[in-house]
Amino acid sequence: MASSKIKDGPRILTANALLSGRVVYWNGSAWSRSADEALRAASPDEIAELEARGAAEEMVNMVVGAYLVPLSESGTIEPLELRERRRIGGPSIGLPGAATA
Amino acid sequence: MYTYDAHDQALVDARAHEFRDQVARRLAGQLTEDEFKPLRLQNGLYLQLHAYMLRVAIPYGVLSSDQLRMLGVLAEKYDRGYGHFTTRQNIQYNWTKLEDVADMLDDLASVQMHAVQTSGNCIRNVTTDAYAGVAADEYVDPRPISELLRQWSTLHPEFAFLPRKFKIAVTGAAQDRAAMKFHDIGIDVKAGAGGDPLFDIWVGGGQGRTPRVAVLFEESVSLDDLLPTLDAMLRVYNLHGRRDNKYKARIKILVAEMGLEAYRAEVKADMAGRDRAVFDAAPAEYARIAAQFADAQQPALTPVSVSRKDPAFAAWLDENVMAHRVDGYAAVTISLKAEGAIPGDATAEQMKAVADLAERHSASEIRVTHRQNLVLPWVPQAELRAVYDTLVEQDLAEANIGLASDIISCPGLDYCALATARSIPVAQKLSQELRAREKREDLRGITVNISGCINACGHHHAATIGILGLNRAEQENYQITLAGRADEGAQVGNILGPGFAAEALPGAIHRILDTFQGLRQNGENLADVYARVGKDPFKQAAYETLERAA
Repeated sequence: MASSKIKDGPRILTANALLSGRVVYWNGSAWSRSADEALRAASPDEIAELEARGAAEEMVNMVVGAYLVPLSESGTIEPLELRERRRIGGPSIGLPGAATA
Repeated sequence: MYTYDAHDQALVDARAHEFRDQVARRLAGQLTEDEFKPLRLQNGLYLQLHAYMLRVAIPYGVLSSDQLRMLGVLAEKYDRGYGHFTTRQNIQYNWTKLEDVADMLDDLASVQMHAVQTSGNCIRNVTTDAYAGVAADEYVDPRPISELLRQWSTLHPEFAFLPRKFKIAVTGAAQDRAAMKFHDIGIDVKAGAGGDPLFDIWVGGGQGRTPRVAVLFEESVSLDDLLPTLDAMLRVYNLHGRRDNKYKARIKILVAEMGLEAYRAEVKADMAGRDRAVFDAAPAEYARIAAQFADAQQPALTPVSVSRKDPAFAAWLDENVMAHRVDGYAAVTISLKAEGAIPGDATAEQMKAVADLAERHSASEIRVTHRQNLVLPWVPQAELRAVYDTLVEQDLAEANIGLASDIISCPGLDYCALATARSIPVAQKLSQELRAREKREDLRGITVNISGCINACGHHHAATIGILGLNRAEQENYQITLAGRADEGAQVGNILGPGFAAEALPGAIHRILDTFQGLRQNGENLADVYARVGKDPFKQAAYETLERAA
């Protein structure tokens, strides 16, 4: 599981869906496409549990590359790292043509 | 063009079949991700920031109409209606689903295409001059040897797990349009006595975090000796290249640490001890391939004078149409850099339209340039207006080839899992700024290349104005390099100084261009001016407002 340089603070669990490759977040009972629904872990025990959940989900072949994303202390889903801020929202650019998701 | 024989076709068919089985085993849980990852990468399937990305090989950048049409079909059928042409003359699909990939590979195989060796530590797609076979300054057509190298390097049993990826470029003209000296091995083809090709071999070029211009390994290598030499060069690299540190694993580091003479001596010693019988078929195969390309040459036509009454059409003729080696034809470069557009992106509709255009007006042939544009190599001069009118309808008629707004950009942090900053929005903003500027002043010969990380897929080291996106304390920051060159006078750009925030970057670029125009003498390009006056005037100008603010 990828680890962040940021050692403290709340976390959410993310991965890529095995079939579609799309970014997903663990909402406490399933994987969601919405980071806003992600389960936020704050205490060391909660974070350890979330990390174990990621490893278990990989084992049952639902997702790929699960890891924890450090958040700001603001109470909202606001990743501290630039990469994760970009990953949450999808490409920041208008996609070519009249493409839709 | 080269047409697959039964061996080629059997190979890509089998590969697609094999990958279908690998995906099925992965989905059934019989392969873990750790086991599956090297298999998918060997078929060009990456897991990027938002989704899987499939990179499809376009060997030496040559496409038939049927092939480009299929690339459009793949974009429409399996992706989001567009694809991204890369600096290695390939195409990438950004929203691939794992369950679709085997079908995509089957569709590709049906038009003699594949995704083999578009990833991994192997010999990647061989690239060459996008104007091969039609450029007026060409000595020898580099496509036949590129095809021979494709055959030699495809699934080469010794070179599937090299210390690091390995890129080969081939050129055969006075002007290097393949960035040959920025490759692990660069090959410059020239005509020998009696018309046989001779090959100057360069080694140790590359970009990334340690940019290097290749050095001359050996001049005038014969066709008989070419593959034995390359084989030995790769073998010595495979043996001594560093596997302990991926940042020091490319051949450029080996050659620098070992020394060119020692490396050369070891290659020669390796060659001396080898049975060359395995290469006996190469000259005959080269002749067979060359004959196929020669057969595709078009007969000369009577040259015609094209009306320049329409200023927009005349501008397009000036910037996007290149002189041809055969009378009556022109080579048309289709800009994938419309003002504010994403460099290298083309929609499915555009790909199909260009495929149709090539069928009607360019001997059913298209090329992909390493500057992320497309080329119609065989357009009769009398049909230029018809081609232009169709390109206008498709928003593909931007008259900016070779101008500053013809920007190279990697996908950056909008797509790429390795990127440290976004590059596409920067390219889009600069494209608008520079397009406006080049309509009132001469910015020919200025290349602007943008990479979203130090891996330099956007070739920033080799640009007149290079831009490198970095992550500084979780904020995007853009470093400028100046006076790089990708052509026969290849040189690595010079870092100007500390980076800029995205908002400050266009202003800095404008001040650099103002300085260039103020200092320019007798048609000098920016690299010439830089060589004459040095970094200081550019640095002072670029950081002018920052110093004032401080």
